[in-house]
Amino acid sequence: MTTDRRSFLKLAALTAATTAASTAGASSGIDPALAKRMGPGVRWDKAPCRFCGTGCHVQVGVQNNKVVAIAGDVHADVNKGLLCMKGYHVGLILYGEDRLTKPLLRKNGELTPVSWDEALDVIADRVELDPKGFAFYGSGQWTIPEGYAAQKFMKGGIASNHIDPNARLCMASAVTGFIATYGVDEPNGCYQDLDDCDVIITWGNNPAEMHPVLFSRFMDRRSRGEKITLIDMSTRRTRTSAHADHFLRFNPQSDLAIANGILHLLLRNDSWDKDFVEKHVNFRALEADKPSLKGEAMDFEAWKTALDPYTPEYVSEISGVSVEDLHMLADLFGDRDKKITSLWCMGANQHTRGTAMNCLIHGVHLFSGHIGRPGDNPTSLTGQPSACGTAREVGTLAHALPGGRLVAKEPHRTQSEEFWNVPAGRIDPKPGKHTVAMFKSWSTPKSEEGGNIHTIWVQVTNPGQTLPNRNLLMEPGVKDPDKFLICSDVYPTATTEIADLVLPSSMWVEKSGVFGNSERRTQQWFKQVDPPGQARDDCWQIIAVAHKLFERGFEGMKDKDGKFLFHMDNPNGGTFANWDWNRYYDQNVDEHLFEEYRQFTRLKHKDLAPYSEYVKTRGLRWPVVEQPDGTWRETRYRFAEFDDPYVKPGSTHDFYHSTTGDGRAQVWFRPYEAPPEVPDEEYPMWLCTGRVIEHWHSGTMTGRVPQLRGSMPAAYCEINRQDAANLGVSNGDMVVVESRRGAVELPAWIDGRGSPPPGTVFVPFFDERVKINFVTLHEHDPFSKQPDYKKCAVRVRRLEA
Amino acid sequence: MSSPPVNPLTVLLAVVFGVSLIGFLRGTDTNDYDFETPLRDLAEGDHGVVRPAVPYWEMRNSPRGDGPVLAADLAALEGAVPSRTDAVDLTGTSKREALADRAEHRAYFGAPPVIPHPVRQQTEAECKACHENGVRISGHQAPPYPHEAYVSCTQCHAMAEPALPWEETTPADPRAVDNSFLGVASPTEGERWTGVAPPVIPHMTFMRERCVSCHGPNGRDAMKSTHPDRQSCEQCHAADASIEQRPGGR
Repeated sequence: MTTDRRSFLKLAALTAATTAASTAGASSGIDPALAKRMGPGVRWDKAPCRFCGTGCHVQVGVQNNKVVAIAGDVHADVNKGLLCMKGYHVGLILYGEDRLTKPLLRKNGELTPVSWDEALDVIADRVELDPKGFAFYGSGQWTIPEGYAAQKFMKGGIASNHIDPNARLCMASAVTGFIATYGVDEPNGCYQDLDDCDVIITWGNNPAEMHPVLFSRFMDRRSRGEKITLIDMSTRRTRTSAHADHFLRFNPQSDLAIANGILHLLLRNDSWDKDFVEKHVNFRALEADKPSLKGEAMDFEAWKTALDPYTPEYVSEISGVSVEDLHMLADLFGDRDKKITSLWCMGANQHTRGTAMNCLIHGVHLFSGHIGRPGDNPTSLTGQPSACGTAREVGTLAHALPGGRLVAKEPHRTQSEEFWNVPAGRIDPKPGKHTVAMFKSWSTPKSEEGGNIHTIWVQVTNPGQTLPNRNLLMEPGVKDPDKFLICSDVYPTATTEIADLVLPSSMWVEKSGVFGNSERRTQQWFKQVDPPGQARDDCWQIIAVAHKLFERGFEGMKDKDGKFLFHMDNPNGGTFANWDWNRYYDQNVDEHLFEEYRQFTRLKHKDLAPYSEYVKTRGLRWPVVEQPDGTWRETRYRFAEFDDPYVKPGSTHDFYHSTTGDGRAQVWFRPYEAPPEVPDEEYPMWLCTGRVIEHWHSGTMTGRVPQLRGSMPAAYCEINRQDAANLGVSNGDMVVVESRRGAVELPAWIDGRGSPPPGTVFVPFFDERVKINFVTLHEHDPFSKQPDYKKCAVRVRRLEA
Repeated sequence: MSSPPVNPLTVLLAVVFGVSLIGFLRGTDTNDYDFETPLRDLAEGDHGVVRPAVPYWEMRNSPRGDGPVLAADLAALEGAVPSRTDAVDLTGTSKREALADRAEHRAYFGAPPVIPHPVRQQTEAECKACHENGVRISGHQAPPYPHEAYVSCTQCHAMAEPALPWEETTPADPRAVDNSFLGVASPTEGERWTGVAPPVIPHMTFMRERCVSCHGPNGRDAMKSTHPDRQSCEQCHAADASIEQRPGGR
């Protein structure tokens, strides 16, 4: 503990200026005696918020090694001092009374405290049992150094590619959409679009609750007297709809028809951007035999013909959106003087046709020329704080290597092996198992085909609550004695409940970190308080297991020269013992890993600046390019000559990672197709799942904040008044929501937080007691492998007391 | 949607809103709120004599004289909107009590307060009715918001009571554990250079641009300005750069 204190104080000295702030005297709702004990000084430092992909910066007030206050960071470009209710209460997530503080091993069915050393040995044993059957399941909440360490541990050390993030369930279709369209992942625009646009279109997105600070960033322009038009397209009425100028309710899955209908009308009205299309766009369709993200060229005439059926009348029939509203949308896109920003997130991504839907949103913007100037861009949002920075950029996916590389590509493997200084051929060329396949394999007996995954190490996420169709993907593995689940987390969760080994982790400002948000912004923070008990950093856990294996002589944990895979030089000579927790903060491990990772970022022109630059700023948007005077310049608008240094001079727009190698983006033809499961006589209603503003992800953190839990304590079934009347159900009456896969019981809410149309119910997934993912569908998009949590068929009945 | 200047019409409107709020509070003595049933629906059909009041969130768009609201006894609302020229009584509560009362709805000094009453779930249209300029009715005080008008009030302000209009019946929430977070306390007073100098502002001023929110006639007694008629607070009261997020601060 004394070492911890010392390293903490050292870090404190490293960080920004400390200032005495508030004086505590007789106080407040807090016990005045306690308040006095808090002492006079509060030290403030920056950190990105722990929750969503918006990436707000907060100022963290620390006193006596505890977080005591939070303030919106007025110097942060993302949020300009404003936060949402989760951000203002983010400091409280550290202090739930049931924090995990000891490693726990299941012995005779009971989780029993063990030493860290024993825990590390157990993991090393599981690796040695069969390295190729060891899998890692991480998340978009991993910091960049954590994800990078996990990636190197698995692909460069164990030589198993079975590493995937929960981001697979969250934004994988956004990635495939970007790659199919531009040849490279992540948005070309940035949040400045929200300041400059005339029109916002939300495609199945509810930013008023899910990205509140971004929602305010454009809606508050109205308070300042600006005119801004909000068009909300959604399958149910939400808080976003309440602010909309046009609310377009569409039937589930029909978003594809709507996008094609807009393209149809742009053609019919001859209002598409001929100059832009002529210079910057190719037309593309899936290959008939072996469909891929590359697709094959499609003749413009054939593309036009393919869109012939999508008349407003036909689209209106499929979608339920009126013919007039479809014309309104097409007329907007047909007007080049209007600046249009599209926003989407889970609605388009958690979709069995998610890749297609993402491509179509980009396609509408490209075909109408609404791209590449401030305010006029398709902007995909993410749900996790580092889904972009870690899952997508570090590439903690079963098929990827850091910096946009692929395990299947020989030069990419070779280069990664060089950066890691591991022997040639270390990296397995065969992609590993993606999330659904990973858990399917873990839930298949080892004697059966496809059952080779014996152990999954879960960090920073909660698959016990968030995987779809849990009866299929988890329950058999839980019961199978050959299968082993390791879970690093901060609180007891639906996953620790079934884990065989539980590791207590540090969280948020109890460790240093780097996140990458939805607008390509990389944001750094320093450790500010100590973790409780024996909780330790996830990154340390990975390095410590690696070192345990290294000590045992495991070849994979040695580099080419026989040194430890995570070898770091000690500036005073010798080796920095980064596997020793008492020494872990002697040096900045994050900086070591980040500088190593930086080498990977150039290939796809996602250049990152040195770590020290991020210490000075509230984040920088890549590519960050060094200037002749030695300063580092961020890029707001990619592929646009006025801002992106990599655009060919004179070309105005240059999609320099084009899949066709000609600097052009791809506009795809992707037809509307019915979803895999539609309501029928037996299961007559749609089920949609999602979040509420109070809670984030599976609610393990926000559920322990009294103010947030107090506001929204339990899950509910949002149901239309008419359906409720038919079922004889009123507010608070218990109903059963049942699919072919499972059932849950919960109270009905009529015209509550949202209003679904007749025939649809909505259930939020934050409540651990109502595991709605026993009900959802594991069917997924063929390219992104992302499941559809937004629509499946259910029946709802009143629960008789 | 910029804030209108304070004028007699605004005051009148506030009074009108106040009337409906009283009516509302009287009609809902129990906690049996049903915000989500459009009140007008109740009048539809063959109810004969029932003529509902205009919901207060619809009053802005309601023509004057619609409904029985204006026929209410305005005299009963005297003092609902205190004037800046009223005499100030600082003897009501101690400052300690006032600060404790204020802290009741905040996780720490600087946190957005939770909303101590039910609100509609899908729109914030009605928040402004009371909180734009503030009202005080029957001991209940609706402070004016201290910051510029943001459109999405429930973005920052959570509800003190569950949004769900029923008692929880599901098994106990395993996450409903104690939270040992101890928030930073409120400052009690600003420093004075001499005994008679105006105190400096002892807290951050960001998002607290409207001093009257806490220190105006609608504020808690011991926190009120003794001179509410003076409009330009920062003329005499300096902000403390060391606690602001500005150059020279943090």
